[in-house]
Amino acid sequence: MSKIVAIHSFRGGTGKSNTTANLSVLIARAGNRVGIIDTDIHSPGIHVIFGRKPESFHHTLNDYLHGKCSIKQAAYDVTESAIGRVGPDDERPRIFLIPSSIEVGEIAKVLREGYDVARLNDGFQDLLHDLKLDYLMIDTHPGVNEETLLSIAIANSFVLILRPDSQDFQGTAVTLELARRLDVERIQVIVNKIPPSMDRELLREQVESGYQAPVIGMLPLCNEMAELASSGVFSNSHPDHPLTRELVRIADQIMN
Amino acid sequence: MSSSSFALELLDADGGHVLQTWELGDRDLIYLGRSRDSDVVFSNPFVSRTHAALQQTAEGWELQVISTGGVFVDGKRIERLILEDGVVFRLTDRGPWLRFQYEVSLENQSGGATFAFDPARTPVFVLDDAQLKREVEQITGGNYFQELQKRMAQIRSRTATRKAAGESS
Ligand SMILES: Nc1ncnc2c1ncn2[C@@H]1O[C@H](COP(=O)(O)OP(=O)(O)OP(=O)(O)O)[C@@H](O)[C@H]1O
Ligand SMILES: [Mg+2]
Repeated sequence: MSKIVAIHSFRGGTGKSNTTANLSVLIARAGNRVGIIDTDIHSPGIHVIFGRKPESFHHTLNDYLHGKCSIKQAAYDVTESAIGRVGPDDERPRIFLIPSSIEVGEIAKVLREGYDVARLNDGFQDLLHDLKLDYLMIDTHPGVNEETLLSIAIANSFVLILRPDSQDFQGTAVTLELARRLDVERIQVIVNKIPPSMDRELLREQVESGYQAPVIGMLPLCNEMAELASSGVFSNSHPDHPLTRELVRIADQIMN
Repeated sequence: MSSSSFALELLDADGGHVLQTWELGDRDLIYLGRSRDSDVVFSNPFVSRTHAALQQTAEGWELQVISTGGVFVDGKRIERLILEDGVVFRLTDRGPWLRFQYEVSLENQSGGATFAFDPARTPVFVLDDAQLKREVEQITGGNYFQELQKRMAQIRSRTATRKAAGESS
């Protein structure tokens, strides 16, 4: 059974892209075929974490949405850079990246014309099928807009990331309620950038009781992650770091 | 809540002049660093991308050090510090000097209170249900959301049909 996991946050800069990249790598390492789709068409960026230059993409999600290619043509195998060499015929693990265009004209076009909801959904389903994916991870644009609502509605599992402050807490609650009304199967919460002396258990209790949803991870604020500056996959470069250990626990919960 | 607002001042090397002021209003967590997604962003090369965090606690605003570059008060390295009004600290032993300044509102002064912290505030996340309801209604009441709900129902049943067909072929 393949699964679509959408990762979202109310505010920007909460750590969606880095968390998505790390969880994707950890889930793939557990013996899965994982697709990562960057639907943050307004400010795409996850390709950077995998060390890919935009020029290396012949096709992007945008081309697919405009009917210029199949979604499979916009999927790039990044297994080697993301987890190292695997046998050429090994089916698992594999990681594929479906980037968005970073060209300003393209971004403007999507903003102007919006998304074809049905076509994007078809694309997701084609990807699962054609690339025999076990998981499709969606890195989204922050805030509530058409694309967010759509990824929420399509996902089997909706993961919300927030920073531990009141503004994020209140804003995130809105998205969570919308997800409930769109009948998402599973909603899970990750708190990121937790300062060292904050009472983690109290934080978990308050978030879970406020949201009536499980907190599947509490990630510490750490300068090592910040200094990496999205130039690589943290769990690869810091395999023994407490942040990586917590990411592993989150990946386990996403895989059940 | 307004009693919790404060400002950070960037001081020049002699400690005399304020070069820049950040007014930090109704927040309970502030990140300081060179990273652009910090709440207070520094361009000073000695500062780490995520250097420190300020969190409102029962005892007042607390400074927590994240970077190994450290934070110094009176030349001594500190790990955590409850910030008193007017305290000066330095990011690393060569980086920028900062002064912490509570902004006491007039009501507080006239009421004789200094800083009215609720002792049970660490961390206190309570939802404003009325605001939540208002915002959710704003979005779900619109045509777009209702249209999406309808279309999603269609898309879901089509996807189910596709899956069934794919599995049988
Ligand atoms: N636990 C952490 N501790 C310190 N810094 C972090 C942590 N998690 C993420 N960051 C940093 O925060 C910044 C934003 O991360 P990221 O780009 O993953 O967020 P995002 O939610 O995808 O942002 P956007 O909304 O702009 O797409 C990056 O510089 C990243 O290195
Ligand atoms: Mg991002």
